[in-house]
Amino acid sequence: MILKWASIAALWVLLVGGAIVYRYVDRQVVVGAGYAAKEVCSCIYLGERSFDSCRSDLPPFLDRIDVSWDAAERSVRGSVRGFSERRAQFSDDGGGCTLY
Amino acid sequence: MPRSLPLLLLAVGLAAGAAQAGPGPLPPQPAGDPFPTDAWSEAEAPAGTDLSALDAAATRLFSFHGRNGLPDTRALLVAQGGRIVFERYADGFDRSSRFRSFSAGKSVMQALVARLVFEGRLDIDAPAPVPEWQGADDPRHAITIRNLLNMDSGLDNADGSGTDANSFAARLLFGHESRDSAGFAARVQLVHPPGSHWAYSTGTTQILSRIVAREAGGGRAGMIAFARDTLAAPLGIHSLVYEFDAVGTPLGGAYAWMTARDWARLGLLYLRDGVWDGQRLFPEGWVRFTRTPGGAPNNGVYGAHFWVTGTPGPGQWSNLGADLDAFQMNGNGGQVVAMLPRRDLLIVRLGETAEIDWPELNEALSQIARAFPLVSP
Repeated sequence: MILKWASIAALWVLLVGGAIVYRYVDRQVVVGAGYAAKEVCSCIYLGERSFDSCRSDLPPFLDRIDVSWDAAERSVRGSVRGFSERRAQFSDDGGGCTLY
Repeated sequence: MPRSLPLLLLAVGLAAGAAQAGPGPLPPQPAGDPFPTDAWSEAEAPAGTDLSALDAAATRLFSFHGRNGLPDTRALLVAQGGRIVFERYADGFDRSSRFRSFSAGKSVMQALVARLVFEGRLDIDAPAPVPEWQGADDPRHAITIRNLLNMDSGLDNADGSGTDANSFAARLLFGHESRDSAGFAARVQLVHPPGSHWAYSTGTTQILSRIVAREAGGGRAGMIAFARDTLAAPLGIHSLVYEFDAVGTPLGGAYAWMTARDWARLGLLYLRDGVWDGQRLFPEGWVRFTRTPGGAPNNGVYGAHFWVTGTPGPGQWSNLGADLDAFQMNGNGGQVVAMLPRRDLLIVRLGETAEIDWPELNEALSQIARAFPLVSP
């Protein structure tokens, strides 16, 4: 009986702890992914440079961010598998790229 | 009595000196030299310029490279006497390339504040019109637009480290909080009485940006039109783009884009005391205010959303050489638009800082400045 309750408690601690750690890491990923998406989108549409040239301007510590460009949608996404994704969307209203 | 005359003259002289304290005079546009509304004039550097020192500093700036093989310095432009005397771009960039500001955009937003003040639509010494601070007992109600411009609001929204994903600035611009940057920046506590403590804050510029956008009216389209009609068009600037957060506040703290020549046009407006080709665009004394460090005791080199040369306060970073009497728009990645009134000089450097660091960049830009002769003492 004691073992059962101890197991449940341990599982609960693990889940809550895991959620806290996941949320903390996700917040960091969101910032990195947002930075990458915004920078590359603006660089392509306002700087009028190629995706590869823009991507290579990102600092090395963002190498783990997956950056993808959707030319048809005119958007750039930044993501790390398993975490929140960020999208920067170009608008031709004269206001460049906006991060969503 | 005659024996006291020298003392009297000394006292008068000291009083006159005290009256002249503060930023030195700004140089007028040379007679017969048109403002670059339509096109920039180009000229040789003036007699007395150390051309080899200029070339050596420029070569050095273009010798630092990022991982992609591109030079860190993408654009370097020098204007003297209102004419371009040096202009160089990295391969793949030219005079039609737009460059992003990062924090140099704060100074562009300051120019838009100046236009509103000039039109009598904002009073910088009145409490800043920020909805979150309007409660009767809210201590933030005492924060003025002047406090915001001088970065001494006392709010708990200082940037923090640029490479820390948990920093206030990183969350403000790129985190979930970036959706409503001004709201995020305004909904913080006061941790110092307004005016008593300097702290660099991109959030503060976001609060200002929302004030400007609301005064402009009309949402994104209204703000774009306001920036174009009141600031860009009179100067002949055609490349200015302001970007926005998801709720429509312009990213005045970080994301304005212009060509090097247009950055130089804005710089020239400040160098000419806010008067463009005979038309006054800024209030009298605005550029003096721009160049005067705010009164917080820990501030030595921050004016009104512009940096000034001098002795940095604790934790403040250096600009061009303290002897150069410059004021500058500075942005992350080494974006610099520096005005040097005593040489009637303007230096624009745009790009990245993948390999070069700020001290090295400042040293090279100072070397460029010193290569030019003084035009006023």
